[in-house]
Amino acid sequence: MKLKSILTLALLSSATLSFAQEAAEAPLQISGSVDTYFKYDFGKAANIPTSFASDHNSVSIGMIDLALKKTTGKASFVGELSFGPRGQSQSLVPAGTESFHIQNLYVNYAFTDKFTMTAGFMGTFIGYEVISPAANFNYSTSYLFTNGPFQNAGIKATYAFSPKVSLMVGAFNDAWNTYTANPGFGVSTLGAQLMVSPVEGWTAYLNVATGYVSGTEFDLTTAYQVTEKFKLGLNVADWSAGMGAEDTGFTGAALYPQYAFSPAFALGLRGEYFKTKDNGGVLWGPIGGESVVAATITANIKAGGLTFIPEFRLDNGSATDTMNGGPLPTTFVKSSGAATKSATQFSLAAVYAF
Amino acid sequence: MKLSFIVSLLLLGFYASAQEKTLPVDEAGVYTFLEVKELKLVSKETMAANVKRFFKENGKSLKLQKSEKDTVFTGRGKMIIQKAVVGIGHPSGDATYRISIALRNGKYRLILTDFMLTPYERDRYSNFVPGTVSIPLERSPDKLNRAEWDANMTAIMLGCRKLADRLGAIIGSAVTEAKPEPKKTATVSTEKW
Repeated sequence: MKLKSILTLALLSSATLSFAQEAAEAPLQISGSVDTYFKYDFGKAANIPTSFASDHNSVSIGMIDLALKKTTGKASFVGELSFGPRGQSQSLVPAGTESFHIQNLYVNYAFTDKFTMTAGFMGTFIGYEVISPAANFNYSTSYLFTNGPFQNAGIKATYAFSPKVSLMVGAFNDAWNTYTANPGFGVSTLGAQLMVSPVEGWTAYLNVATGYVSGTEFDLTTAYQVTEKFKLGLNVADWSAGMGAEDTGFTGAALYPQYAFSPAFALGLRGEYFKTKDNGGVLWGPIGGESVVAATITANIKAGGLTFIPEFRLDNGSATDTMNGGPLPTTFVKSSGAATKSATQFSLAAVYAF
Repeated sequence: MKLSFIVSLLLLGFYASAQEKTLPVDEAGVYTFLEVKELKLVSKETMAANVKRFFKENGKSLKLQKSEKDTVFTGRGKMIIQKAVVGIGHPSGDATYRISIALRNGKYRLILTDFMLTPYERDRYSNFVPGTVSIPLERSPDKLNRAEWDANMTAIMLGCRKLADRLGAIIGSAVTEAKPEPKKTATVSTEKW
């Protein structure tokens, strides 16, 4: 028998053997992903400031992501580590010389089928997009994602009134994206999420997180599987900075129509409008009072756990470079260094999820 | 020598189990697991009581929907499909199905059919949750996803076999209701020896 046939049969058998084990106890779960990409910005500079896919004209790496989950009775534990640029400094925490980042580290206890509590460092409940490339349709990210929270450390309680309605309330550390709170402010961010599923295939999350340090963000995230092939997602958010700042923060909305031509090929658009409030407060985006419209077309070509993601993106800022009165620096630059209103980029990413 | 013999036996087992690559299809071309077993010494009434107990004891994965004169029992079930290597992995999807158990004097028939596959997706908390699209098992996979479909089919076939074995173990049982035994702490005597 050829070696390839032997290996194929062994792998198929491992799927059946694991299913047998599942009935006796919940085994340790291991999952993760690896990703790599090439990006070319037609301005010959890394113009678009949203998260990840940051290197222009380079074959670059995203991250290696490893997640462990173990359930024993009513308790479960999740620990997720990531290594590489996407998983380390570009995930914001920790900023330093560490070569890894903790994406999730929490314990969960299901008191009943309806009521659970979770504590630790968790992916944020706010927003449509996430850090893991395996869980996003687009490879580049939105301004809403980049300027919103990535993770929250805290404790939360979730009650499922029914499969269609659930409510989460929680208390989180003073600032987003940090393992520890500033002792002076402590666990001072309150968060809540109302989940409703009006019809099968449609889920909406109404989110709020508010605290003196982290400010206040209202967020609507919803996705509707309209037909078997067509899905529509929407994210609308407004953030006002904390610490007494006025008119500081952002407002934005992003629409995500996606069409699956086949299980192997899907096409999606992301249309985003993002505006920085008059007094600024946005680190990666337009200056105060200005806005940007970003259109992204993305394909997902899937073969088992491997997904190829070609993507084309056009960002157009509102600010104009003018010599006469009220000159405002534009958002992007050309290869010559001259300011320009728009930026375009093409990227090709490969993501393997296991 | 011993090790190579054991490995050969294991590979033979894998090869034998892989011969049946898919479930058989019924008259309508729907993948169906069907098993007819004879239980000559068991009355239909006993079998009916045990079938109800079977649904009750497997209530998390099976739901009895209809019972016709304690002769035909139909319902819905769900099995979780794991994606794993050497027993460690994560749920990759689930398969819901229609279950039908029909009784006659001296024999019963089990049918599992109308399988619908729901692939799981990873959420922001690193959990795997059902996606929004379910597809019938009969839908032919494209070349790129053939291996995944084969693995799902293998898992479903094993799940059907396990369910049939569980039913077989209980349906012919003479005991209709198992009473839990009170737990007793083991004792030892340090005086008599």
